[in-house]
Amino acid sequence: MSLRKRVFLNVKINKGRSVGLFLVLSMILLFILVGLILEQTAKEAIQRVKSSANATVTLTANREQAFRNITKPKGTQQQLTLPAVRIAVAKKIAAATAVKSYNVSSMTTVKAVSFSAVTETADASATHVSGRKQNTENLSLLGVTRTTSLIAFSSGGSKITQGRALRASDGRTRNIIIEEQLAKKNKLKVGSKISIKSSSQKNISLKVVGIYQGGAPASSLALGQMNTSNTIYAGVETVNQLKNTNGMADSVTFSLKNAVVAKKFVKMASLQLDSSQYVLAADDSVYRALLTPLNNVRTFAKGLLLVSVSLGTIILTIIVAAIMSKRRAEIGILLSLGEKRMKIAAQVGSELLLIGLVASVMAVSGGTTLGNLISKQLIQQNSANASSLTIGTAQNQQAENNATTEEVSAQTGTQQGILRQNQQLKTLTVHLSWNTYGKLIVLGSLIIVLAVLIGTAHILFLEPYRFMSR
Amino acid sequence: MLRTKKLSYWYGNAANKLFDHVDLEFTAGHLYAVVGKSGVGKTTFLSLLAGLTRPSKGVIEFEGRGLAKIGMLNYRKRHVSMIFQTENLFSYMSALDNLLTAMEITEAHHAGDQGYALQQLEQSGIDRRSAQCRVTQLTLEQQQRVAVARTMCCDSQIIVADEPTNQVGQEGAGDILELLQAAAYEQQRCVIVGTKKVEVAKKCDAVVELHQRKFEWL
Ligand SMILES: Nc1ncnc2c1ncn2[C@@H]1O[C@H](COP(=O)(O)OP(=O)(O)O)[C@@H](O)[C@H]1O
Ligand SMILES: [Mg+2]
Repeated sequence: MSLRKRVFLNVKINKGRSVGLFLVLSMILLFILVGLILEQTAKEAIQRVKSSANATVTLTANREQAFRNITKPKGTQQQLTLPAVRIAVAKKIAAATAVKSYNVSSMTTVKAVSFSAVTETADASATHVSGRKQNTENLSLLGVTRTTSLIAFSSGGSKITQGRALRASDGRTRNIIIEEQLAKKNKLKVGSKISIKSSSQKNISLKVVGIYQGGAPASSLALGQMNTSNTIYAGVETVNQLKNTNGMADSVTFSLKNAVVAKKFVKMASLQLDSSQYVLAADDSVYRALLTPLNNVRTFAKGLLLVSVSLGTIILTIIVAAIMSKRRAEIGILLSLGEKRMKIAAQVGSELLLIGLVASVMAVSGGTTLGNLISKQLIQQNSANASSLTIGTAQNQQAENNATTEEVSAQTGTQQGILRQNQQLKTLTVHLSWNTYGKLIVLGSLIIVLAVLIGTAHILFLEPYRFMSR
Repeated sequence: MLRTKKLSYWYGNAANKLFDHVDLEFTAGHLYAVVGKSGVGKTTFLSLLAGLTRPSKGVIEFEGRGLAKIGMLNYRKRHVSMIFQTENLFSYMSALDNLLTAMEITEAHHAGDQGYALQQLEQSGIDRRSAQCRVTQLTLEQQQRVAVARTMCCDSQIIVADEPTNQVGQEGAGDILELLQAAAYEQQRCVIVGTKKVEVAKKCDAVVELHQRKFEWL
């Protein structure tokens, strides 16, 4: 009877033993498979995040340094002007290959002339209690290079519903985009003209080229502005003309091609800057917030793999050793017939591999379900932490400075980005590929081979005579 | 055919030798009995002859060549067959499959020949129906008969049997010894049986006793 037939017959005849081994192997393989599936899924998701998550780097003036200079007693009274960024400096940095695009941002407060601002706030009673009735509604005129690269838009928080977005070529024109509610209230359409009054009491006429929905980030509120619908996007040069700050910006935001290089980019670009004048800060928090739960899943998966493979090997080795003791007589006959020890080990190993193969099918049916359950649990737990953290920092930032806009709006955009992408993560479903199944088979076989080599050693390397003492 | 030269054996401590400087010769066509009290070292001696244990000292030669030189595994495979007291068989197989497996492993002349195996079983008193049964369903006597049939199927010139009839009734024991006699006298094999029983020793044509570390022909 050939070795192959012996393997099948042995598995078939010793049903109790085979069923027991089947259950043990199913459990071991199930845990390994869950580890493999989670690892693979997390790896793929990380890859996706790395290639898709956007990171921005914001250049602002070093305000801290500027304020310190002001507070220094110098005898003469100094005029308090908010420091700004030279656009020329930003352009130099934007030349780096890591930069996908950049956005110059400059904001000013204006008053409506030919129309009226949106007044009803979400919390209307608050205005009554305070008794403050705004006579002249402040609006914020936010000059940007292009609206598409603003995080508020790219993250999906705001979107164009009519007309078009603002482009770089709109810089010198009087083209603007306004919020849906502001348009509705004043019956403004694409093509409508409005007029505003700047702080220097000049009246200017602006042309609506697009209408956006969703409100600007709450942080873009100008001093005295009550409603985010009152944020109007315009070209940078238009705003600068009103402010009389040509060639300057409140901040410049660089969108990077790849979030992975954000830190390195900041380091390199900072070398070109005078740090007493400028601050360059990376905001790769979307990227990081997304990566954290995924990395945790991956770490968990790796741990699970390590534990299940090593524990599986130990358990299986003990079981094999126990089975071998019960099979002393059989081994003794084989040895007395002149069967090679390696062939005996191969028979025991093949029996296990055969049962293991059946068990792997069992593991596959349970593994995907269990993998999904665990991945959902881990993602939920981790992303809850991640979003509460960023909401916290965004609010702090907002309280800290009212002067700059894009910086905070980036934060709020980030927050929206995380929430949106978390939505994707919540539906992060694991799947089983042939590749993963192949890995399961390889790892399973490895465990079986190890367990057989170790578990049969004490029997196989004794002198055959020992098997005769009965 | 088989001879021991200055063969000594001990477990652990060399001061407690089971036997010392043993020079014995076993030739083909004889049925030998190795007798001695319980615990004197019969099984140990037989396991040395069967190539299952290495001598502590001295050598065993098969047809003039040392077993170590032939290779213990090779020697077991081609030149010797062993019958144990009990549990001689693969319990998960039928009697027939036991024979076929042994023939395959030892690469016997008749390997794969089912008819030959059935014929050997029949000569050992196992009918065709019993031959197909799982061996655990056979009596102990039948199992020993299968073990004898197995040695017949293998081409080994030496058969070593350790108390082959201990678990078998009077009548069955007689049959089994007759089979071993046939192997020795008709097939010209060298059959060596270890036993405590006088009735068994009486059926052998040469008896050697192990007593106080020495072997003595009776
Ligand atoms: N593995 C072993 N280790 C130590 N002593 C052993 C071992 N096997 C057998 N013995 C001892 O060797 C002696 C001979 O045993 P054995 O060859 O089985 O004798 P017999 O077959 O004549 O009854 C006995 O005293 C036994 O206790
Ligand atoms: Mg004995």
